[in-house]
Amino acid sequence: MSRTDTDGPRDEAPAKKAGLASFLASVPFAASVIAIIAVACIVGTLLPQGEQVADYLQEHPENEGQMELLAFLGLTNVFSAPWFIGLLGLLAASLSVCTYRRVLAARGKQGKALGRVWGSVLTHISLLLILGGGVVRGIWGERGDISFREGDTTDHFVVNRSASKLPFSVTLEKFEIETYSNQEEPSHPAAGDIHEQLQIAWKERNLEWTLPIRLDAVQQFGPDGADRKPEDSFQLTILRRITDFVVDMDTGEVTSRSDAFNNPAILVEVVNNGHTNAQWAFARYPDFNMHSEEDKAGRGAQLTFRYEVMVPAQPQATVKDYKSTLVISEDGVVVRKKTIEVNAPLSYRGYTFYQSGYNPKDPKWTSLQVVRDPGVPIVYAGFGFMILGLIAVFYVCPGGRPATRPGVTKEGASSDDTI
Amino acid sequence: MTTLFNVSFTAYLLALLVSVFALFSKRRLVDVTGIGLLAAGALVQTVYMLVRWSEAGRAPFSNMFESLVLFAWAIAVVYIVLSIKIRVRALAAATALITVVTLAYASAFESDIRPLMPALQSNWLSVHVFSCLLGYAGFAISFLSAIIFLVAARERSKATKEIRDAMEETTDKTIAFGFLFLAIGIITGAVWANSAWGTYWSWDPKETWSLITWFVYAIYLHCRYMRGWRGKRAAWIAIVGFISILFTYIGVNFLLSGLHSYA
Ligand code: HEM
Repeated sequence: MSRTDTDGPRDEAPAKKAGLASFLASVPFAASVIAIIAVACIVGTLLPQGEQVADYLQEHPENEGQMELLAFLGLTNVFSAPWFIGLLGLLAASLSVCTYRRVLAARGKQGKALGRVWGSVLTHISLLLILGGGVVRGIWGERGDISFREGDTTDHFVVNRSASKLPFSVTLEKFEIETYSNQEEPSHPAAGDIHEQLQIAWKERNLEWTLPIRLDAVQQFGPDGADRKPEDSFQLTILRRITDFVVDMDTGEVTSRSDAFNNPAILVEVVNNGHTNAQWAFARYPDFNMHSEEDKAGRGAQLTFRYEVMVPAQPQATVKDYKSTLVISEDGVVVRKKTIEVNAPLSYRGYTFYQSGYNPKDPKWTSLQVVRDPGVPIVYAGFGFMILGLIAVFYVCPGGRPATRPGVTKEGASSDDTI
Repeated sequence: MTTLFNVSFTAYLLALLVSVFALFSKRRLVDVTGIGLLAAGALVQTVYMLVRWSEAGRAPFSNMFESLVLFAWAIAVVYIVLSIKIRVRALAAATALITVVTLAYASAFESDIRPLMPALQSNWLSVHVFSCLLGYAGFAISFLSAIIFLVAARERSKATKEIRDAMEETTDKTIAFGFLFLAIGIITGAVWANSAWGTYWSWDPKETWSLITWFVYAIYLHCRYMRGWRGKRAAWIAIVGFISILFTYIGVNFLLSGLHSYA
């Protein structure tokens, strides 16, 4: 490459002083930093990052050593690693110095050339603003969640499992989920569509049966054939059938939380040789039988039960929108009220509440994301400057671009470029 | 609606045939016919997208099919505007080819109009996708002109200096255009993410790759204008940039997972 001034071929004065500043402001240095950042970004998208590492290890447990090495090298959290932040810092340093020099170089320029300098200054300052806004977010920003039900009020949100206090309180007045109207509302499956059966295994005897579920019907079982003795046969009754099993930890009472087949269970009673025993079998946990309170002796035939339920897949209504009506109060006085939805958050005193999710099992439950990011206005100013600056450089004052000015390209071109 | 799609595809295909023929015939009328067919294809596509817009009740820029249709349209439009100043037959043929390939690839995707998930129901989405794709279209043409430049710069090539200069100028112009629109695309995407999720940047793979791509072109601009790089070296950066575009646009969807994986 032929000799060129650090600040481009046209500018002499500010680039003369050698030293660190000139080094930082040189285009080769800037281009190298940008290139290294780009490579770091590539690494960050190709290697598993943050929470993905656990998923990756689940699939490839044999690579644990490698992952530890990558973590040690700071490659499993590239975008928040000190070395990456350091690179962004170098970019910022380079940008600052060369922007400063641009401003000095603008003196004595006129017309398009001046406009062009200002366009490029605006572009580079915009990058500094975006980076600066990111720093502000890192230092003073906060982000967390609130999950609550209709009617609840809170003045806290959860940041990394610990509570952070809000300077006001938020009440969820109403939560609504809208579905696309041309689709059916989710309904409970008709009884006839549900296929249930009970498999019984009698290990000692190496015997197995499969039966349909019939509540309260007494059924007699036992081995067939010659060795059938009275103590070998038993009576089986299904006492209860529950769609969504919950047990009260204090009283031990079993109830069903809902009619949906979320945790189906049956209580099976076995009477054998004078002993009665009852146990719960769970469709979701087929290898687990729970002896019930009613279990009398625990002796008698040792049977294991497998309860199977097949519920036909429901046509899931596609969610169109979900909306939370939030009321903000300070010292008991209502100060704001707004219905938020996914692309329409509520901001109050620096905190912004975003609709982030809902609980498909409990339609009265909403999740919100709470964000405080004082850097946003700075970043947005950067965005605006960037667009204006680029338009100025490329379209308003393109005539001032060095390469389109006669004489400059030849000087800058290297020998192998002349074809 | 499918008829409109097929008509535009046919127009691009004819534009390809005519512009390849133009490479040999060297008659102005043939050149103009080729560009005219490309324009006809873009016009029919415009109608197609408007019909789709009114049927869906939202801008038709929300899935891979729709964005590829937009991409083909944007390439044709950017080229037509460019051809007012710069006309090189090889570039016309290459542009027609890439529109045909893009639409053919689009037809491999599901073209049904589907309801949108809540996060996608935003005007920012339309602006975001539109400006990204317009930027990609600029870069696509810079890629073609860089390749034509490299072919024309071989020692055995009979291409004239005018053609090489025209290709360099095309690469410069379309990269400037792409750089601006990719910047607008990234920025509107960030603003949209901030209004939907409360964060303007989350290093999601697609975001990150668009930034990588943008950096590649930033390097092009600095080397080109500050260091005076020209010719082959500049052309190679333009080619690397477009490979990065392809990875951002298509590769990321298949190879990496993230927020954008629905598109
Ligand atoms: C990602 C970071 C950067 C981006 C996106 C960027 C963007 C740009 C753009 C669009 C131009 C105008 C190019 C043209 O004339 O066509 C430019 C010019 C320039 N850039 Fe950067 N730049 C970046 C980083 C830097 C850094 C770190 C330096 C520090 C050395 C730098 C120094 C310059 C200089 C000296 C010019 C010429 C300005 C002029 O002629 O007025 N850039 N940059």
